[in-house]
Amino acid sequence: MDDARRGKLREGIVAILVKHGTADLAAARITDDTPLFDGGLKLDSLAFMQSLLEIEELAKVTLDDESASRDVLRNVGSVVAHVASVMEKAGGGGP
Amino acid sequence: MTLLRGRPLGAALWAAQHLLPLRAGFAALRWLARGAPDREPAAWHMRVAAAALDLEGEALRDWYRRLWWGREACLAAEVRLRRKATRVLARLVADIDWTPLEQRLAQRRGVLAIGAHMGPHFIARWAAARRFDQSLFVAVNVSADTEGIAVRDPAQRAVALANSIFHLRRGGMVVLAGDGAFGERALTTAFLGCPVTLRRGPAALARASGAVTLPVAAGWKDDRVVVHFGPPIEPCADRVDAEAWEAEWLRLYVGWLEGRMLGAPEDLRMKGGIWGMLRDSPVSQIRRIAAPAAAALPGMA
Repeated sequence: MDDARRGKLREGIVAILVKHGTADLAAARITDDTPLFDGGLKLDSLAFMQSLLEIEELAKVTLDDESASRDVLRNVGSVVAHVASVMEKAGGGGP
Repeated sequence: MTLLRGRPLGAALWAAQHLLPLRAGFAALRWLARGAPDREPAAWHMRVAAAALDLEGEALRDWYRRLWWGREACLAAEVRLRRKATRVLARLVADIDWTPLEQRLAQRRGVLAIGAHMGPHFIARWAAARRFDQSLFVAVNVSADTEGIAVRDPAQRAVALANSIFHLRRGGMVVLAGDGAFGERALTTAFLGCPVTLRRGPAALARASGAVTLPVAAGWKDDRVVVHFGPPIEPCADRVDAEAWEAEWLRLYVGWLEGRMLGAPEDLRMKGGIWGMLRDSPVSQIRRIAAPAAAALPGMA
């Protein structure tokens, strides 16, 4: 995946996570190290579930158990990296 | 019966639950249950039954004896679960008819088996884990006998919800309690006329996964564990108002639980889950349930 496409994917994922998070954080202030839950975006479990479903639509991929592992849920960067890798394995996807 | 007050009762109870063979223990508990209303005259369970079922006198005392027996029999069975007494437990659950669940699983659209804090639910969960290899258990305490996902903190719950959705989309079964205490968001509904606040996670999972919901409650029949299935809640249509759909899902689920009050008292247990919420409500708020509703609820004992 080239940098431009990855950047667009990151932008889309961050927008979804910020929309569902309860932290008062602007998208511009989100870094790859920003945690998803406490101390970061403050997603709750339902918000995370809804975010996953929207990320699937954005990336046009079907996520699976691996996408809900502790490693993937660590921070924004780990989510973007995981979705990018699923897209590559699936041979494309969006956005 | 004076002998059974205080410590001597504790010893007799302990012996019935831990020392005697299970069937003999159940018989001993039945004998001990005879004095239960006298030993615990202020039990809130009796106040709930008097208000909700309009019971009084000997009928109320008999109702409480049966409730008491069911609660203590659950503990006796759970002792065998902790001891991993597999052969004893297998006999105990041999009469469970899983047909409604099997029929729904055969449709390969995913089944959310939604339980409650009623009856010997730990034993039914153990039986389900042995029977269905495509099941995923989501619970606060996940035992070694039923592998599953715990839900104590937000990250655990996020993992549990996501894995549950993926599992249901593959046509599997997810088992969880609908009246659990852990979760960030909640909805309030009425149970026996009293407001109860339940977590939104199970309803949200049903909505987002597109799986059918099958209410499940464990109970007793002839000293064996049986399972009662409620009317299925069909999957959510696309593009509905999420909160309104989840509120309706909760109303149907709680309505089914409420109907179980009309069934066998030994199947209620009345401990934890929704009962803890009811316990905080004034008895004056408890609404009487009409007996004819029992016939309208499939799966009633």
